[in-house]
Amino acid sequence: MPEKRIILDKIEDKHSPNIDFYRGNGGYEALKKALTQMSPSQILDEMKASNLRGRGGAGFPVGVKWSFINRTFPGPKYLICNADEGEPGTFKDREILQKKPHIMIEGMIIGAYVMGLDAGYIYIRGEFYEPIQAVDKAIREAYDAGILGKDIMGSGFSFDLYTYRGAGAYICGEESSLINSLEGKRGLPRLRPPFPAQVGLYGRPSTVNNVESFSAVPSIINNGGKWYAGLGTPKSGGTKLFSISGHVNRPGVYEIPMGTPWTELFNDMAGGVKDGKKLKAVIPGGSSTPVLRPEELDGMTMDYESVQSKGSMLGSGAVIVLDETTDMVKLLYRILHFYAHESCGQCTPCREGCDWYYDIISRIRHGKGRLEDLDLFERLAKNIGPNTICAFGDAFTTPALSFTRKFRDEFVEYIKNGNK
Amino acid sequence: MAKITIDDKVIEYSGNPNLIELAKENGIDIPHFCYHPALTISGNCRMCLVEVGTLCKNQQTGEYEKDDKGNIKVNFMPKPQPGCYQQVSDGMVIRTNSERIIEARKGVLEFTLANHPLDCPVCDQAGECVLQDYSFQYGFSRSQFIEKKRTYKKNEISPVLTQEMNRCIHCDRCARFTTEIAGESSFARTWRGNKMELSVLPGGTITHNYQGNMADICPVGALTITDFRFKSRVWFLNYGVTLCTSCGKGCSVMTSHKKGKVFRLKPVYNEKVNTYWMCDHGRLRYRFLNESRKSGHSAGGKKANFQSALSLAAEILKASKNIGVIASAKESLETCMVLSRFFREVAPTAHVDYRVDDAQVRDDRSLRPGELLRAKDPYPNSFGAREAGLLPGQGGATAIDILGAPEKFDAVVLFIDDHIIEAGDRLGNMSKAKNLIVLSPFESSLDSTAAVSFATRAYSETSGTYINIDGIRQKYCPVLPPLGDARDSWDILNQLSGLMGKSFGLDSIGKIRSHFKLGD
Amino acid sequence: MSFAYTDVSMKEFQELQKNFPGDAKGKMSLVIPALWLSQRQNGWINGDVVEYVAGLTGTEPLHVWGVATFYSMFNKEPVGKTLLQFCTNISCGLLGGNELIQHACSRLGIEKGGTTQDKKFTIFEVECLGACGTAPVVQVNDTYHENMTMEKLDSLIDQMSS
Repeated sequence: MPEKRIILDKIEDKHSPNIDFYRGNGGYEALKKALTQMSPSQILDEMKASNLRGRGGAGFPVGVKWSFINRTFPGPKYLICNADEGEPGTFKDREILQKKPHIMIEGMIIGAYVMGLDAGYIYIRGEFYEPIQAVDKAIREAYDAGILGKDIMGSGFSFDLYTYRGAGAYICGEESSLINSLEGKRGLPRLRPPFPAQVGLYGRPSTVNNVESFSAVPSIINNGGKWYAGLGTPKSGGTKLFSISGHVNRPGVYEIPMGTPWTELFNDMAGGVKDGKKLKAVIPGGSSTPVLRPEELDGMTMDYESVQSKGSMLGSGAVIVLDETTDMVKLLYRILHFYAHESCGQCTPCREGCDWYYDIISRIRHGKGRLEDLDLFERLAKNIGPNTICAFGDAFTTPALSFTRKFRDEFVEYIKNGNK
Repeated sequence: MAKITIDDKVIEYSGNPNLIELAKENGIDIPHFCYHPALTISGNCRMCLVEVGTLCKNQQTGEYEKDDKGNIKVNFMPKPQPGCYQQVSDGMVIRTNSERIIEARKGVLEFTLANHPLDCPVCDQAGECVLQDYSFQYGFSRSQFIEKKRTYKKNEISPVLTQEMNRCIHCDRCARFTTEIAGESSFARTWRGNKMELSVLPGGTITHNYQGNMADICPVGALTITDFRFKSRVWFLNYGVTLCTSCGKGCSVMTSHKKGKVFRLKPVYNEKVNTYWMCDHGRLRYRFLNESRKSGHSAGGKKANFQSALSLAAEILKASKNIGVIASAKESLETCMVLSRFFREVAPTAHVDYRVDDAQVRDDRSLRPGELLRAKDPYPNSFGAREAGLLPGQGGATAIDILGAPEKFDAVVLFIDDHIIEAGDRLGNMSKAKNLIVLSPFESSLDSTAAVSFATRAYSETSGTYINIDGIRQKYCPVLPPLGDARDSWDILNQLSGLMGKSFGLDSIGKIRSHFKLGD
Repeated sequence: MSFAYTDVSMKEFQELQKNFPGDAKGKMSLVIPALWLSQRQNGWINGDVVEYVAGLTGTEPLHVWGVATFYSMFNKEPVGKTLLQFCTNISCGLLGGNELIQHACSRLGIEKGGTTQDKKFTIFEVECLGACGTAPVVQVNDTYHENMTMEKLDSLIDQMSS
């Protein structure tokens, strides 16, 4: 199976960010179709049929999420695009934001039409200054073309769209933290229920989806949900963007049908391990997903179910390739540094736990580890993930456990003989 | 009625109760740090985790599914849930002491304690520390935390409170109290992750009048009251419940005392008056109970025994036609009643008044601007005194008149309380008074010029009733023994009535209450 | 020493106001954008900025400070004219990010987090910048420099020094 470029279609063209180029290649036709030929419930049916699962990492079906909004609920309701791409290893959304923002905007307007939403915000991580400029320009173009604002394409439907710049907080990728941040507050995850569909931005019904999820919508409208679903596996519909990085010859973003064999993505597209070295391990879905050893990759296909059957998660599709020279102790040290830096600090097991984990790995990395530290990781993990407000607890215990379980000998070596 | 099962105990409930409160009412304690019934739910400490189950219903038939033994099957949620935030619904099954919850609690406590300094030997909270209690009850006996503990730079946050951020468990009660109850945004969470602090704005300070409550609700020793720092280990203190007398609100308080000295006041829950709180003004005014207290009586500036002081006072009052009486609304309703009757029947005079403060003169029952509890009226029983009729009769002089020109009276009966002493210059003319009879728990310069000066019991050493600004009647009982030969004011008046030939026979608080129909 | 927006910043702020509801909740949303404008103008967030932003957005200074200290991109101390932000997270770390930051530190004679005496450069080690496919990445003020090498770094520093 080769790459199947739907979202990334013609993205390499330098005119790709422009509305004229986008429209010249069929852009905003889906929106027109949706607004003029389809009812919201018809679109919702197509979305459900498409099997599109949320591309931010959790994989929740988008059509189902959209059906949680009561479109007749009086008063303002909001659509939020999560462009806080922060999971180490993920860089696919930046590609869309910077090079093809209109496809995301088109998906958002269709979503807003389906759910009867009044305004939308694209929450973009603060570091993405250049992508924000690109999206702002695209939004201006869309307003000028009558695609945003009042009475879009003469349909009577109105929708306003704005960008919002984050300011450096990984946790704001979590949707309720993102909403708090968008409200001008500290980005702390909220207790649930209520969910954003009932009480979201400014206490109003809201829906949050990832950049890539919105970007998949136009093709579903154009070609039908069934078509999209048929591109993937029975349970994971469509194509998915994979960010592949690390020790690999051709790092980058690849769009492939769900269910594409790992070997095709890794060898045929990304060109295999960099500089002909041997593969040591792969982190398949971003830093918070369990690391896989080469033998575990046998027969793996790139979809939610297959990666899960190998004991990991597809997550945001951030594939990180590690070659034989990789020092797993130092790498885990770096990963846990990240999580200790990014915990919001709100709830006890996470605030105290991620720093404790970092202290432990620091000792091991600096030759002051003890064998019982590896057991301590295991024991502490039992009281972190299940007891925290959000998924951050699992996000940092998971790599710690998978690294130390699968590469135990390297950790033991550091513990016994120090850092050489 | 809806039913819920908590630890195999079936509990009926109505409305939408909080699970922690519902469990507590039914004798089941769900441990918690960040939850407080008067504050919004934060759910951050994770100490109150419980297992939440619902009864299994067959989707098709609508019948409950049963196991082999015929019991209805229960579906438990995969993760434990915070009890503080759990919506209660009919048929719900809660476990607060399952093996899983015991483990989860241990785990949470281990994290709570990980960076806690364990400096209990020098911590004022020791002995009334929730973290200490829970560690003992639910925790591990040994920590596996061998890392360097987190430390913070010390910050001055206000003169009232001392912050030891190193002890903080980040439960956020103090910050929620500040915004939600005190209505000030001077204290909040700042920074992030394990560097998160509860802090004031750099260079800022907390200014509201309710800071002591922040220390009270701090489950650990992160916020303590500066005034109480290193004064006493709390387990050496004795405790008694009484009322605060520093304004007309009459908050329920607990004294902590040792060897006759009061060390601090803390609020006691009182649904009708102060709920969980009290103001700092009242809290820190406990000191007057310890200072310049009078334990014996005097006459003409010389020590006198009670009987001779009484006889002298009786003679003065018998001989005086024109008597000025400055009463005190720090005295109980019972005393006010006896006092009022005394100066109607035994030594009749129209010049009786309790109103030494402007708020009393205006009969102002409102709170000070911006205050949650503190009344404008600095007296706890102005409305008791008013009810007792301690007001000037036809042509009578007011308290302010008497204080201004005491020499116009043949005799002046003066109650000296802590407020009039604090107010400073009010008593400036009183040395000019002829035949001054003082009743006071405190020493004053007037003791040397007074014809008679009685030592009376402070409110903390006696029983009585106060009527607060909202008309609520509250009884109080002694929490400390009386000093030396100090007497109750009503006792002195009752004995004087006997000496002056019109004996009331009201020689106990009970008799006074029934005589004046004040209830039991 | 007080802080106030220049006309340019104020105009941008007024434009941003249109993005949010006009009530108190909508105004609070402006705290982060207002801090961004302040930082662009002032370089960092000090007490005067906090007071000013609180005034503009109808919030309390402590709220603004709580927000400023939550987000790592708001500088709570002054930084140099050129802010070099090196990602050393997974992919950048695997492909030389650590060596790059070491090189920059020794060349400029400062530690990570430090600022040169001439206030020209500040070096931060930062978390994943979301550009792992072109690792290692250095963000220079607002701009990403991808596929960074020692040579490119040196010429970048040369350029910024002059």
